[in-house]
Amino acid sequence: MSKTYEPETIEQDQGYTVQEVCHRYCLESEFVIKCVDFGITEVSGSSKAESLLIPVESASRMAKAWRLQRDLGLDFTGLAIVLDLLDEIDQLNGQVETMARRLRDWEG
Amino acid sequence: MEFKDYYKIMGVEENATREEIKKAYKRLARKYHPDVSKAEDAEEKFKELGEAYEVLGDADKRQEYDELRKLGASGAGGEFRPPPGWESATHFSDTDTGEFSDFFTSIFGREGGFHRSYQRGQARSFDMRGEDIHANLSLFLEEVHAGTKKVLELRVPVVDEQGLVSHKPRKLRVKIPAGTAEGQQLRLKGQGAPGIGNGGPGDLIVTVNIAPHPLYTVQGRNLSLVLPLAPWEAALGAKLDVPTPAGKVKLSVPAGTQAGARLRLKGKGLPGKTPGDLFAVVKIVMPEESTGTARELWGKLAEEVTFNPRPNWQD
Repeated sequence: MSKTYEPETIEQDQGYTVQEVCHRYCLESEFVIKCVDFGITEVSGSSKAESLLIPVESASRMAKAWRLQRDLGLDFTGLAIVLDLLDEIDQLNGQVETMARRLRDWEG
Repeated sequence: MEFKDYYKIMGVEENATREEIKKAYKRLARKYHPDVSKAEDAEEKFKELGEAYEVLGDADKRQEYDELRKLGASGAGGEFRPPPGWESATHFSDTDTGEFSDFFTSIFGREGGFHRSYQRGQARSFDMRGEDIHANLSLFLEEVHAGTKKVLELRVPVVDEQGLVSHKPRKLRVKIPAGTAEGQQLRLKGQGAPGIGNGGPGDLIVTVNIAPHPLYTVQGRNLSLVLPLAPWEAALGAKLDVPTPAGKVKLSVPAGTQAGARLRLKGKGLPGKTPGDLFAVVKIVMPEESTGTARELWGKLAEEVTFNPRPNWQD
């Protein structure tokens, strides 16, 4: 293992086309379009499917949606709610960690 | 190999009905799904649960399993062996990807697939680009500040001639650029799963996480640390050496600084196109005991200075 790989930084505003998302995450285009319709993923670009750009972060979210649908049988409405709640839990956990850290520093 | 008690894994009795087993699966699947559960062993537990349901949820496989449970030899330490000449009568027809435990394959063989394994991927057509592989990498703050090279250990899917997928370990050394922020994603083109037919390989996407640091709290590219001050330092001002990831920096604390004040050291956070800042958050710390001269001086201060720290309290 002598080679060192130099990665490319993925910027927040980078996006994938629907086709790219399907290839990268092994999703079907129908599923991706439904995720867009139900607001599970953000998009930019025109309303035509071929011009849609899906932010990289949202693409991961869609892969998660697919796994939850496959494994837990959730419909799209349920998926949208569950994903929003999971995001909120992550955000709140992050805030709790930060506040706990600050409290420890102040009391320490 | 270790005997797997599928009834225990699913938390059901041996005489559980099909309906009870189905309910148990649904309940535990919600609990252990790796996208929902934060437990470290969630993926392993979910896989185990899926395997248990694969067997107990199917009448034929359950019957075989139950027979084997009674007939199979158990040695010391829970070692299990199927009876000599055992052959499974149950056949799979699905060729979805998946991995079975050694215990499962010793009973049911390796053919076919596992429906509820926590795997990405669907049945592939020919000439398909390989999937992206996602990996998390935890680094120390000092490493992301200065940049570093790290060896990633991955399990990469490999498809054999029969179309069965297994996972092979792979190590590769990756350069992490200086100033990589928490949650930043890095792409290594073509280092993901191999493609099918003429399809090219996917990419490897690495998400960087920064381990908690004893001094600094990370928020994006900004850092903060607690700046403890003696009361007189806050009152009179002070010139201090403040630690930063790049080394000590001089900070002038203005006279009359309040507790909780955030003093900004511009550009002393994580480097980047727009470097982050370091915020020193003031905390006033009292000496443990005030005796002798110190106590006298405090007493004089109390007499000489008119100051109400509790203006909002009503008498």
